[in-house]
Amino acid sequence: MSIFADAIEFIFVSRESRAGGSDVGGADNLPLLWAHLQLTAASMALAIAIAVPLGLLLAHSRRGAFLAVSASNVGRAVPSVALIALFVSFLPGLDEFLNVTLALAALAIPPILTNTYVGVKQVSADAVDAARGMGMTGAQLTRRIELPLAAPLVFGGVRTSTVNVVATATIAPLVGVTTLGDPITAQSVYGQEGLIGACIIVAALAVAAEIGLGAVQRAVTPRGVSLETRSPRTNMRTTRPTLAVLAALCCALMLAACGGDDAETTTTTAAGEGTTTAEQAEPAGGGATITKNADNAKVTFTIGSKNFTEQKILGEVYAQGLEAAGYTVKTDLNLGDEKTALKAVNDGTIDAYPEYTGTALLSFFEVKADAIPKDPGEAFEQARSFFEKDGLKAFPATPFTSSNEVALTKEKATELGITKISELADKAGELTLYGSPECRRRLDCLLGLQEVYGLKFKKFVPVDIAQRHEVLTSGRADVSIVFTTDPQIKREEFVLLEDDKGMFPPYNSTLVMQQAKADEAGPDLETTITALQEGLTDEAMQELNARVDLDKKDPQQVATEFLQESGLIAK
Amino acid sequence: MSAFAQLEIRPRGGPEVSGGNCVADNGLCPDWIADNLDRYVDPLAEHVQMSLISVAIGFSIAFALALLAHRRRRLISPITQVTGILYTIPSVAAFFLLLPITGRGMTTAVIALVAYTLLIVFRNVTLGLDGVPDEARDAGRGMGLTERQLLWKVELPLAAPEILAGLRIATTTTVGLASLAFLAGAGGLGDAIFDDVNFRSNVVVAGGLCVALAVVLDLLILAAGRVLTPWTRSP
Repeated sequence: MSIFADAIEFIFVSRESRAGGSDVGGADNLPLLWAHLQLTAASMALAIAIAVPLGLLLAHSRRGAFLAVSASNVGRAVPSVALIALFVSFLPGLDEFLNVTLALAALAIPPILTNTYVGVKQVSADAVDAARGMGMTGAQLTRRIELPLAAPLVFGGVRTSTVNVVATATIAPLVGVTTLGDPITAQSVYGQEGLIGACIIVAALAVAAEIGLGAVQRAVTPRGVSLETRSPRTNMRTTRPTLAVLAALCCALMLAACGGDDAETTTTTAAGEGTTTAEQAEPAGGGATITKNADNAKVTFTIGSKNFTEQKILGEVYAQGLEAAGYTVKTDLNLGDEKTALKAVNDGTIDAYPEYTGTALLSFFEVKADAIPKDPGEAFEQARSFFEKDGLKAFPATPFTSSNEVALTKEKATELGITKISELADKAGELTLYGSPECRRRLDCLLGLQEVYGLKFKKFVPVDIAQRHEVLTSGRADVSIVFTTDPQIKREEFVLLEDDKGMFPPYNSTLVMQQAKADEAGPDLETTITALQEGLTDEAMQELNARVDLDKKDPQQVATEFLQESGLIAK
Repeated sequence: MSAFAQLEIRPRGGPEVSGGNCVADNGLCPDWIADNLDRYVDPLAEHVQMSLISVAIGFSIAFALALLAHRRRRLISPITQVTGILYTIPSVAAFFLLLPITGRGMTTAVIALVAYTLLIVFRNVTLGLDGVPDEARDAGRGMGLTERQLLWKVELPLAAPEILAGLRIATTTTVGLASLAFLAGAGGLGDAIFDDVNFRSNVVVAGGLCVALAVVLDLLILAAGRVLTPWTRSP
């Protein structure tokens, strides 16, 4: 059984989502596809409306060559993610769809602008003179001579940009528009087959746009122009039938390629680089709890983490703590989501990473959200026994828990007069909820709020998890899903609503490691981990997150500060 | 354990924090940027390494293909189509589609990035060679050059401006696309951008470095081109 076959099945057949409670795949892909097409169409319309007239203007002003050419060349290197992030950051008041449309249009403009400019410029002077001689006005000249003759190049630009926009619209779910990128950004819901399936759909869509617009481009090319260009380059002409055959071939190859991939996935590893600072802590002094044991140096750990602040800090804390105990330590932080991180432990890319008990039970062991024990100790015990069956050791969990929370601004909470989630019942219809893309289909998030509390929000908007507070302070969101240990809660005086029906499971963090590796490391390992975690209370974790998220310090530096200030290593 | 010290809970913002209130207000903070430049060193190095390796490999493959197609004209059409399809596949999709086959890391990123350079370089080398005037070829043959000598001494030098233009486009494109290579676990400046995608100083510095890198490489190729093709310079 291969992942690519599953992915093809995902495209055509609907099934229950990984997170439970809703269906994904098959016909459920259609709304995503529709949103993707809408966003592409809106952005392209806007880009064409701006770039074509501007290109004409530049071509006539006879001065724009530098602008047109540099816009195109440097424009290629502008990271689309940075552009979209800046648009959202500087224009937070706009509707999400409009905002993403603007950002995508900005990406689409340079190729169209350059091609329009070059296209009009290359119209032969003789043709223009002949038209003038026939008594055409400037407007007629543009409409009947320049634009038709420039049309093939203009369409070439439109084609390039459309393919680009189709591709980039994939990251729209991180900024509020649920497109075909949803399965890519919400893997815990769609699973890997959903991710690969969506990638195949997006790739097919881009190829279709390229081929379809290529046909349009040929159709709008005036016969005179196509006759002129055909003769020297007959061989370069791409013909539709062959392209279709090739596209089919590509798909077949992709399917064939998956035959052996199961074996390969386990063998290919890319070892993490970037060893943590080589300097060793001084042997115990000044109340340091971690003592260095030189014998440990022969054991090497690669500590991993998922891709957000708290995880990176925890990864660094374990890495630096174990190093202080004499172990040889490497790090491979920023692994992505929990599935990626777990896979990395299983295939040996990393030896350990911190995982939350609630996430492990929901995402790895497919325990339904309402069946997870509410007691942190019981939840840990359950997760530990599941991990044990898979040959993994889960070390005792941290004191802090980083659960999902329903947050509002203080003013909003006062205005509504509520302190508990259940009190939202008759008010949700007028409130907009923001959460991560995954939230939409998770039982410990929007789905749970709908089913356990019966809440029907006016609107749910997906955003990148990093924006969970900004949406509240900017007033875009009435309600947002945040984490218990978020430092912004204190600073912005957000109100966390009490989970009075006990819907959110406990999320204490536990270090997950291959059992064999843990046995190899000897007794110092568990002693060190216990010492490291003792000070990781809710307040401490919130403070550490604050130093990275609010003070913008490096996670590595903040982890060192934690170890020093807690007296675990010497300053 | 009794001597366990507590983590100090600090006030936020204010002068003692690097960047101070500017950071708290999410502005563009010169102080913070100056203090934190070192965190961009590794991502930038990864970005440069990934881009250069990909362009080098991609250029070699596409150049070889173009020379092959120059002798066997009927290969031009299928090579253009296949590399055209590779070029069209969205990079986000390409990285994720490769992950199950080649695993996380630099290899996956380089494979995808190489795929994007092929069409650009192949097309420009082919166009350049096609643009060589027949008179020049005839003159070369008249001087007794073999086909191989004709290629290296007449055709390729005359096609050099087109080839270098292709290399420039391929390079800037690769530098831009490499900012998504973090999806394949290969790091780079995209990693730095996503480290704190809400903090304007961070996004502007990381994104700016990416554009600056593209401009620098572009200028380097431009300069190298002028040295390599002295005849294109106006007297």
